[in-house]
Amino acid sequence: MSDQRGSQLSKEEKDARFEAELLPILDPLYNFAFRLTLDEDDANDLVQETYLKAYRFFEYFEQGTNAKAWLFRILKNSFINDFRKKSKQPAKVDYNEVESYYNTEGNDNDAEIATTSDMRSQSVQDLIGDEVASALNSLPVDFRTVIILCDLEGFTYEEMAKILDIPIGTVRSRLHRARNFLKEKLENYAKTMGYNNTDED
Amino acid sequence: MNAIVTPQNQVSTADNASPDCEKVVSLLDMIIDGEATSEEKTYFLTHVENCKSCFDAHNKHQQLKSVLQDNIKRRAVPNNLLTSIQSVIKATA
Repeated sequence: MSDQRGSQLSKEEKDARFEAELLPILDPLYNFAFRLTLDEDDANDLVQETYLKAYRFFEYFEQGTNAKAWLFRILKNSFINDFRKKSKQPAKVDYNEVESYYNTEGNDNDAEIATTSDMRSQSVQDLIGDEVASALNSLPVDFRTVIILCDLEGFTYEEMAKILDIPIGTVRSRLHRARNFLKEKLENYAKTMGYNNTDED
Repeated sequence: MNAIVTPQNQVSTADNASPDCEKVVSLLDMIIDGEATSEEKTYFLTHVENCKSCFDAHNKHQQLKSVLQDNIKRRAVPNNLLTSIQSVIKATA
């Protein structure tokens, strides 16, 4: 009875199909894991765990349907479970949040001048990139997630609703609030860098 | 009783939005994400032809999306990750 499901495909066939359908998604999946965990080792573990779960439940995956959304959903759920377990040791994530909080909120003139002149050698593009990443990383994880899924991975609202198990209306409002949050952070940064984005004609 | 008069000096702020502006602002995400219906798009386009503050709000929203796409660097997948997934799969019954 219990071998009924597995007996339809040989292990070789199953492995070949698994590799062809799901392994091409490794790159976006790893990037999603990294943006959630903000740690290379944790991202590595999370991706491995996701693929192992996907393999165990592969018979429930309908061939030709949205493999990327399916894997992202498994990863997101694994992350929530791990996150709950690990929440007794909050070091990494908290540090990141504190750090970017002070970077955006606490900049007084002295510090600012020192930073900008010290970093002349670093290209402006890199600086902006770092600041954008740190603004994104400082968002609460639910907000960060919708931005990653929508803007970086190009999922539709409907796909996001499935990945996150929330109604489309919630996807929409979360995205809106996340963007307002980010806009505020980046506008503060732009002001300290001397960009004036209020009158661009 | 005196009628309530809206102070003129508030006109330039973004908070004096008309109901139309409020509707357009609520559509901005769907517009930039390509999720708006054609009716919503038409409504939006007609409105921003004559409303500079909504036109600017849309630009800012669109800019934010582009800034993210242009500046969040993708991480390279660690070299051994693919092979270790493959070997775990092979070893799994």
